[in-house]
Amino acid sequence: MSQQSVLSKTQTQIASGKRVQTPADDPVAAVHILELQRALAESEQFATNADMAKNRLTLEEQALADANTLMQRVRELTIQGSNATVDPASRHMLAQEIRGHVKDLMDIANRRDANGEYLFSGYATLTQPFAVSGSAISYFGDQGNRALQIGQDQRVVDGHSGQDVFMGVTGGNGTFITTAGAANTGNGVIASGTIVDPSQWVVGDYTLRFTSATGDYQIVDASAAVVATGTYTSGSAISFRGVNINMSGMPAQNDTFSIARSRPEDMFTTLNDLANTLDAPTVTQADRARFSSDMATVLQQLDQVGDHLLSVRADVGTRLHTIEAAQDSLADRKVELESATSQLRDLDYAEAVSRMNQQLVGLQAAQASYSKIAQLSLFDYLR
Amino acid sequence: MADLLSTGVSGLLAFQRALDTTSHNISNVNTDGYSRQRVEIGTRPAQPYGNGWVGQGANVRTTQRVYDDFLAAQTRTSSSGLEHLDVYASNAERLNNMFGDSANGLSPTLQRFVNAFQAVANAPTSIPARQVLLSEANTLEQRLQFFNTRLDEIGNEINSRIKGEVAEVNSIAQGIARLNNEIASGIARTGGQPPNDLLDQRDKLLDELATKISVNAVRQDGGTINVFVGSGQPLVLGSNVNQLTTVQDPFDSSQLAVAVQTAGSSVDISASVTGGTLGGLLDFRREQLEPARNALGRFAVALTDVVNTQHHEGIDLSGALGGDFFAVGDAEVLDNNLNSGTGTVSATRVDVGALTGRDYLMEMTSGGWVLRDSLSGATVPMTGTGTAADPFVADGLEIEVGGTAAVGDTFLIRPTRSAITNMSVLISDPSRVAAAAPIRTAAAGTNSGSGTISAGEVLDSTNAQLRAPVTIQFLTANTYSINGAGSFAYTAGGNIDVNGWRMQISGAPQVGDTFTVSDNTSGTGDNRNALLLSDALKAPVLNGGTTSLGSAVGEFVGGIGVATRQAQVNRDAQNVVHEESLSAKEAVSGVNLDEEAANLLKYQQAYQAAAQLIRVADTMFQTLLAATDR
Repeated sequence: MSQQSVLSKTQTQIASGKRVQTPADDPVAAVHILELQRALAESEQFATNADMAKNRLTLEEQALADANTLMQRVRELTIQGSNATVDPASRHMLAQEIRGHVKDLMDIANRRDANGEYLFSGYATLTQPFAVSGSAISYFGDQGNRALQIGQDQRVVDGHSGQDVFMGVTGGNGTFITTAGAANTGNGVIASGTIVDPSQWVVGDYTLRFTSATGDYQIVDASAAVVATGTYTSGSAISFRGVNINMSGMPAQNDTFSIARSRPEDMFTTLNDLANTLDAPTVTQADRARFSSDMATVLQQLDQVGDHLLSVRADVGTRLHTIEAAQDSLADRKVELESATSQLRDLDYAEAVSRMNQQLVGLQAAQASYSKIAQLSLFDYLR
Repeated sequence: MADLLSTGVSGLLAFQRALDTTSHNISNVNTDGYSRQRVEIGTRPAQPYGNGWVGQGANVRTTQRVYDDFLAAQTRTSSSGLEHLDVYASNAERLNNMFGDSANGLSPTLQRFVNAFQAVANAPTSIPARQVLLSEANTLEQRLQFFNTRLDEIGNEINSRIKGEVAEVNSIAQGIARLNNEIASGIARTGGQPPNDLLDQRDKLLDELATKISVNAVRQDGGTINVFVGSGQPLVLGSNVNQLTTVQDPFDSSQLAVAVQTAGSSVDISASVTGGTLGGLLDFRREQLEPARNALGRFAVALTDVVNTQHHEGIDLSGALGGDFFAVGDAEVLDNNLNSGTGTVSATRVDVGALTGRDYLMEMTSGGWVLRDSLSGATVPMTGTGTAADPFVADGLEIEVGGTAAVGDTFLIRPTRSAITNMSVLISDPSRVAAAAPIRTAAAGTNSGSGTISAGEVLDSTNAQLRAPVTIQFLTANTYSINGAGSFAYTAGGNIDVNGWRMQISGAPQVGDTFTVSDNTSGTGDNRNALLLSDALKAPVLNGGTTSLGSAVGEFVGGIGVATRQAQVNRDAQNVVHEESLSAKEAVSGVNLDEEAANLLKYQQAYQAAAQLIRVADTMFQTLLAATDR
């Protein structure tokens, strides 16, 4: 009897291929198997999450690539238009094309994914992130970053908010931004300037004012306190608080140039400013000087836009790379978990079959011996 | 010569009886409980003559069964033990098979539920993903209900089996009492000769009784036996029978206990029943079934607590704060139906991590309230005074007492038993799943410093101002105001706690830079709370914050596996013990056909020889007649 039940258990094991049929067969292994299966289900979910994040980041990457192409085209147009010899009519054409590109850029920024959710609106995925409000284009999303779990302790953000991508472009050279005063009458042109000694720079908004027609100037801060004075000769640099400002031409008395600390600027404003600059008159010498100053500022800002897009794309690339690495390790982990489960749960067929043969022999021997013994009776001999 | 004839006849009669007994043995070779009988033949009193004593032949002294009291008692004990372990093991196997299902067990269902939160985190606006989450929640709840119902069913089955077994015990006890009577009168009638077959029958009934309940049989003068059960309660006294009955548990009327009914009163012997099917059923219920129900309940309570707590800290698609996700039954307090005072006891679960899965007995003693473990009876320390303001606190429970309890009054506290019965999923509208966090943070677009603000976390979702907009403006690079008021020192990365939320600002903000924390009503794509929910479900919460829900399931299933395996091993071992004692008994009392064949031959030959004596006597008599017939 007991041999039969042992044999039938071996048979069930062979039929199902499982060594551990119920927790009682091997409680320790059974608990371990539960844990392994849980981990397996979890890592399958992580793999799904990783696919999802990858799809979203790929969509974002496409949008960023399109924005980049657009910006390169704008840069070409800007360089075309920055030549003062281009006649106003042609510049107006360029300005019009750029205004068209503002609209294109907004379309890119308002792209949606397959579920109809906006790519660049942060958490507010059902709110259109960019819309014209007044004369500017405003951001209506938020600064949320949605993270997806792609590993036990690994999360990856599946996009960037519109604030991060389109709104927060570093202004000027990253430290300050130079602009020519609107009422300037001289032909002084200000370039973007460079930082020589960051340790001496004091964050603030400064104004460069020429106090004579011969280049005497003073620099005042926001509270009108004079922080530097000097005399400028055409082509020389003006230095104060660790920065160099390159100028050309000669400003008139009372001409002002602002040297303000950098503030983030959005791409749409940059493009609109560019279009407006291209439309500005270049009749007088002063007009042309302001045009040159403004174009220099805008070109620098376009560089910043290009850099900004690149850094966001690099960020996306890094994340995609992280996801791929995570996917690889998830695939490895799956194999590892499955083989561990199999080792614990699955039957060693060779062992089981030889065990079954042994048990069969035992059972047959028991049966045979019983029938032999049962035949033995004294009554058979008493005849 | 007359003597020779009568001596021969005495031998004939004796061997006839011996042959009768041998054939009785052979006929009963397959009769259950039959003990081999043996004829004891002795010499008849010899006749004295002047030249010595002359034998008068043989007669049958008695017919006795070959029986060893010690071996019989041993077999009874071992079969009692075997039945006990067999019932225990086969019931444990049912639990084992029920919870061991790797595809539909608790563990994979729980994991699917956790994964469903991840799927919602992947696409918080997706109604299908939320719908899947709700169906997984329902599946998990139904799975728990299913297991709980199955455990209840097993409990009911145990009740009805106890009833059945008790009825059988009573009918067996009746049989023993009747046989006691017959045996006593039989012995008296034959002047002390044992009524072997009746004795066998009674022993067989006793054996059967032992498979139901462990018994203690005490032999009395006059051939009767008294049978005692439990801790010495008489079941059979001579020809009198005390009925075994089932009574309702004093706390829980859905549970049956076993009692002995004596004149006017009944004594609950459930705790002292040790062997047989009844012992097995009672032990299984106490050691496996009840703890399994409590453990399952504790899991449901912990699941509900974890999910509800975190769900409250999020907002749903419509922007409303999340409500309860699951409902679960409260802690149960059952009063003893024998309580004489007016005392009341109520218990509330307050700390999931401290819950144990045990039941407690709250007892009024002369020294005040005492809390005991209902299984072991060990005292459980409590703090507090038991009033509403300062309740007793023990093992994650707050216990409040009222009224005036009499000394000796007891209350059974079951913290998690009915949790699943009253469990349900409270959310049916997928958009009501709170996947988003209630607040969002932003740095103003015009900030010129490098300060960044963290996404923020909810500390207290009940704060009325939680979602009110807050603006933090830097007055200098090192100080900031909150909503235009105050001046607080800025530490990069330091916690800023306002209105029940916490966030950090890091980097180097500049004068005038502003950061805002505001209501996240439009944050349909926010998945922060869904991620927190899936984290919370994996966090260790039970056993003082050391065991996660998943490990609790593993622990539970593993515990049942270990208990089942142990029960199986014990049963197999007991089987061997029982087989051994059975064969030891068989070796003594069993009928061996070879032996009987030899006896048959032996007695037949003796009978023939005795018959020859008759012939010799006849011949002698004829010889005498012939000698005198002249």
